[in-house]
Amino acid sequence: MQQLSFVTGVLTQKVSLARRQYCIQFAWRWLRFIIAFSALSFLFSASFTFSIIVAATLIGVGIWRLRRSPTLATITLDNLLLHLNHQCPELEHSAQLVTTPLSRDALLNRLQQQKVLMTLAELISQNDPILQPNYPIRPYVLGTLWIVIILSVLVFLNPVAMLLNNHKDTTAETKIATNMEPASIVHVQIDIVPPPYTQLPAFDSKKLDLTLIAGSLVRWTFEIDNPKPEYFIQFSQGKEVDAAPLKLVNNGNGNFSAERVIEQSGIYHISDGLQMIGTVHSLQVNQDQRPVIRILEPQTTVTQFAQSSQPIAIARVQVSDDFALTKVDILASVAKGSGEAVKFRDQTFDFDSRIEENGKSIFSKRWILSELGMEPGDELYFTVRAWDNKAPEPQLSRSQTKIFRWLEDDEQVLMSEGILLDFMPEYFKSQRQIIIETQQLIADKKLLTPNEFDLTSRSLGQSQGDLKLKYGQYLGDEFDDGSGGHEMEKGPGVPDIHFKDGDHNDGTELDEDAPQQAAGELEHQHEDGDHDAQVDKSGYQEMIEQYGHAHGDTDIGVMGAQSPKALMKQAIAKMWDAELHLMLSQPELALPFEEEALHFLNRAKKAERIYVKRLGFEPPPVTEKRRYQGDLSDIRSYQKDYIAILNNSDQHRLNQLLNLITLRLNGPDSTQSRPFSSAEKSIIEDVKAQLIKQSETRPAMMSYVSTLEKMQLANNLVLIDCELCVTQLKNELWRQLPAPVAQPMLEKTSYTNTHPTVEQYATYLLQNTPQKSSQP
Amino acid sequence: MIEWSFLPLAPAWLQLTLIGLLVMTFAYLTRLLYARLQQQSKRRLWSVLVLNFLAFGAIVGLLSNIHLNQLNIKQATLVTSGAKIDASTELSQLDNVFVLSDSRFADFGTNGQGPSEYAQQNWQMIQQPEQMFTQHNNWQQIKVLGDGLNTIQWQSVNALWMAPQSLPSVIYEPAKPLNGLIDMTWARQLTLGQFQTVSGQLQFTEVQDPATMLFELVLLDPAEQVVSRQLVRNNERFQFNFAAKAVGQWIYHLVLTQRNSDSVLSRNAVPFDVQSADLMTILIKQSAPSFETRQLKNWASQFGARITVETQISKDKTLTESVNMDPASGLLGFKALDEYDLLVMDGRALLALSESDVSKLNKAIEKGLGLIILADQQWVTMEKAANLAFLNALQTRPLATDMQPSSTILQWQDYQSEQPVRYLDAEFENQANALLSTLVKGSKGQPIIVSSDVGLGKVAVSLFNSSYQWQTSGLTSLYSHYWQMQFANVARSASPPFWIVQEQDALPTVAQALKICAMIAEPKITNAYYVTPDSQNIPIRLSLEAINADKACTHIWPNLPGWHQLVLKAKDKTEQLSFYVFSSQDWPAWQQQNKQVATQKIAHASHSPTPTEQKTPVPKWPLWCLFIFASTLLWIERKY
Repeated sequence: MQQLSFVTGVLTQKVSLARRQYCIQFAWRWLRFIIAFSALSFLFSASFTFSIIVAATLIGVGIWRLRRSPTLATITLDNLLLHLNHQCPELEHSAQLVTTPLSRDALLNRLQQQKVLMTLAELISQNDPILQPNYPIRPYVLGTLWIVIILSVLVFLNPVAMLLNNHKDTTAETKIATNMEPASIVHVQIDIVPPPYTQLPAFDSKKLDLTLIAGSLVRWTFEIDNPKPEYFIQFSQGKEVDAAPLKLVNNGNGNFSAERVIEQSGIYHISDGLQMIGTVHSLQVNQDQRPVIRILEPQTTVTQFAQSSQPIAIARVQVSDDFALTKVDILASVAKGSGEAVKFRDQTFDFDSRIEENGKSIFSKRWILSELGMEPGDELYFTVRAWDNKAPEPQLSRSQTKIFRWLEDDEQVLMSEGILLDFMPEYFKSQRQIIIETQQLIADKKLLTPNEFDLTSRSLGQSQGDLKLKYGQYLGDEFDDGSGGHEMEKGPGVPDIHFKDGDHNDGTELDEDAPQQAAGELEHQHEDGDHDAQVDKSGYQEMIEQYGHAHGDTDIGVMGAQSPKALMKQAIAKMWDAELHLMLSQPELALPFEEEALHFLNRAKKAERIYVKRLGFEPPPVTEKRRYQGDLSDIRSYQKDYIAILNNSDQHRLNQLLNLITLRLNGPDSTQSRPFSSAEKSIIEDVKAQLIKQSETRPAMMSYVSTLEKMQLANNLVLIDCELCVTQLKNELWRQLPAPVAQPMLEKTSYTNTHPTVEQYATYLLQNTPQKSSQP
Repeated sequence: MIEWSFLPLAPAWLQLTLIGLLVMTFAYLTRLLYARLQQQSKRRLWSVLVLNFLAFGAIVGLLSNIHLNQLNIKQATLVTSGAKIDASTELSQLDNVFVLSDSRFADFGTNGQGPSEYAQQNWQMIQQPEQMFTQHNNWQQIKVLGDGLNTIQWQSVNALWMAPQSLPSVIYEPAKPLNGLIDMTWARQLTLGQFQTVSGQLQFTEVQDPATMLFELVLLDPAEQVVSRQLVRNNERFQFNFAAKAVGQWIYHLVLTQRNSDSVLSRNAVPFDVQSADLMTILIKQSAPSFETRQLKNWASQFGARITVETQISKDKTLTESVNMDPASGLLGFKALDEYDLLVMDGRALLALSESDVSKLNKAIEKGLGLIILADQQWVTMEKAANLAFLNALQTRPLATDMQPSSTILQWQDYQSEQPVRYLDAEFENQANALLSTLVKGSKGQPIIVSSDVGLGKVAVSLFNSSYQWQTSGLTSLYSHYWQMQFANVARSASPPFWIVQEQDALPTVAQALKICAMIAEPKITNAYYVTPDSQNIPIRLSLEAINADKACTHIWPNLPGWHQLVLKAKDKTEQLSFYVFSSQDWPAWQQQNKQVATQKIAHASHSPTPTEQKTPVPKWPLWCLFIFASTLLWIERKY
């Protein structure tokens, strides 16, 4: 009996062990599914919660399956004994007798049982492998490990997201339909690194409206609460919208970032490709300024030394830049000889000393002219050049040209009442030469690189400026802005009047310099006349045209119009315009002004002689008796007709927008949220264009452009994220409006002249007004 | 005096019959009593007789109508904003107390009693003062407490008064004056470039040392930029002059602070409307071209003014320019003077006119044409033709023998030139004793430009003919204002239709009637409306004024503060006028001043009322008690 209980006990333990091992094997098998399905569900949903739910479900299913597993159910003592019967012939298929209760009279069964027990005991003592359960877990463990490795790689590479992204273009609408929740920016971090050459420290900002120096590297980092695969920053700089938006890089966990070097002012917004997130933001970019050169000494354009002296020329220059200077030198030319035999020798000098004073550098240079090989009669022209440290290309500034002249014995400075025009130093390019070179530059435009074209144009502008200053100096305008010609010509505040042929209304704008053309044409129209046949028989007509209504007008300007000084000033005024366009690399626009300047210079030269003659002649005042007493048969009446309404549409648009905003701000709240009409939208668009243009020189205007953009997007004045923006815009518009010019007006009275009572009263007043006596 | 009538509703025969029955009953009962009580004490007898008499008397009294006649005045009390209500106020003892619902009381008393409690004590809350007369329209006297009513409110009250010949007497107890700005004036509508003048007075009652205490007034433009600052003392007047920059409806602000203090004492809006000028038609006729007329033409034409310039270029030849004229209408010129609003001539051109032209000019001026004569040396010294009658009032005489020009600083309205200018040193001689207006004067007060009314038109002579220098010197603002002023004063008045602008001291507030008027060209205006701040278009019906048939008016009751717009559509043009309506909280001191002044005027003008006889019914409960008392004693006497 002891042997029976021993064997039975051991076999029962073996069965329990086998069941346990099977469960472990099942668990490892099932774990592969759990891990695989959980990981896949995370990949597709990007949700931990969902993955955990999937895993828990699979665990539940696994337990359920294990409990109902047929294999586990077969692991019993009877099946073990059956298994031993199959594996061990010595048991003679009688192993079941171990567990079968035997009656006392079944002797044969007892003997067989003893035999089986002995065999089993021997197997147990030998620890026979057939008694060991065989449920290996190693392959399943390895398999699970492989699955974990593969899934880890998949999670890292995220092929599902890549797959979805590639598929996005074709299924964008479907995806949007399933994810219409608007995203919003939870956190913003902007790091701004100014260009290295500025040596400004990097800084960060939490605000999306940025003010920075041109060339700064801006890195935006956003945390977005409803992360989508892609976000972009859409820039609109200047008048053009950047077609290629800047894509934000997904850093995971809803973090996105992007960076760009900003060169221009503009506005931008963040979008998910279809709709804008947040609102419009401004980029106010301050451009690096060119070095500023101010010549402290010599102050006059031409410095003269006597022949007998030992000339020592001293130049002192103050140069400043908003960041740093890299190089400052002097470009000088020595002119020897005169007229056609003049020879130039160019040379570059460095300054002798440099002193820092209040953040500005003062450079000094001293020349002994004789040491430069100069002799009396020679001239030294010099221009100071300064480069700043802007990268990649430094900016160059050139000063105006100054001249040192070593006089010869026989040279005299001739100054008289009249204007002496033959005073130009050899250095100065003549106006005609500037015109020739401008024409050449226009012709070579396609052959030159943009940089060369700009440099050449600016160089010509410099020459034009020098010439303008030179003439201005002789006219006493050295420190004038030179625009005297402008003011004298029309007078400030006088509008640009467009003269039109009233009868034909052909819109022909008549040249201001050809006023008589207008009068002549009009005369021709009104009189049906043979203009050529009637004019100039007596010469009176010419005189009237000359003095009677110069510039298409009844203005006289008898002395002023033909005086050499006035003509010279007009020439200088044209030179100003020419210089402006040359400096802006617009030689095509400069050329007409250059030609007009030359025209006025030539007229001035001719007029000089008339002017000198007139000095000695004082005509007696014309008395009333002598007026109009000559033969006037050839004088005819004129008629002309034109429109002269001030065209200031930009200012008008500003005024209109200001009115629109002011009325809505001062009105009830409902007016602020009222959508804009199409006319109002047009006003906003026009003013935005104006402000964008202004932002080229005033980056701060971009913040107002941004406000206008927000107004356009909101289609009303209620800007949720920027309550003060509209008020600030209103204030800026008000500031931009110029001082008012009063308009001609009629009084409005609370009675009319046609009223019977008023008429009777007027009659009464007249009847009671004492009449003047006819007797003297 | 007591008035008694027995059974007043019964016919006389019944009254007499009942009285007879009562007397006979009383006499018969007295005899029975005497018979019953003659054996007892006399005191008892007399007591019963007296009780009987009292009981009968009580019955007669109860059956009678008894009145107490008094001479009295029917008075109502109107409590308005600012009224000081405290424990000593005996309003609770008064009947007929009306309280304006928007009243802000100066003091609710120490116990904080508010109007809701007062309303339970016979107070009637009313929205408009006219409501006082909805139930009783025969108040003889109105006692007004607080700020009172403004002129418009009094007009409304008077309009509802049923018996105009006996307007109620008004007794006024004004509230304590508020601190702030009062007596404000400014133009409610300007033409672009016109100078705005804002003036007023500071009122500060809580000043410890009025002589030394200084306040600062700051004028802010719509962009909140400081336009001007001014230091003022209590009761001092102040004035700001400035020009608005652009066309539109603008609100400037006057901010009052104590000097050297940041705390704002008051901030008040100064709204006004700036409009573009009406197009006008100008004729310039000159004997020779001049810079003066050239600049004048350039300035006026840029704003669309239609200008014809006739310049004599030979003895009988003329250069005629027309600017901004419709080519289809052809050139007009001197032959069509009635088509022009203003004629500008130099002296020579005027003196060279033919007889027929002078006659034509005379007629045109009498019909309303304005004429500005630019004088020169010859004009000043030359004898004018006798046919130029309109010059009688504007004769000139040189002051300097050599006729050398003098220099002076020109002044007009609230403006003056910055630099001295040269003018013809002459004086005006008013030979017609007409009423002259000096448009521009020199620094010593000498007239430089003088105008005279001639019929319906005006003629002005200017001794300064080089204003073009301002224009060429960049002083465009000065130049344009100088000529704008002359045009406004001399040129023909604007032709209707147009809205008439509010008075400079108007203070329209919400929920108050506002009279608006328009000058009209045709008697029937069909398309007029006003636009409220919330963009509601409300049609209005204008009615012709009885006195002036060219003027049509109506009343509106704005219910929102802010900018309102009036629109009048005529045949060929649309006229608009914007006006601002203040809320009842704006300009508190000025509103109070307006109300107090108007109420004081009404109070001073009203007469003491004549007392009227008033019957007061005598209460009958004492008679009833007397009857019960007497009857009870008589019952007791019978019982015991």
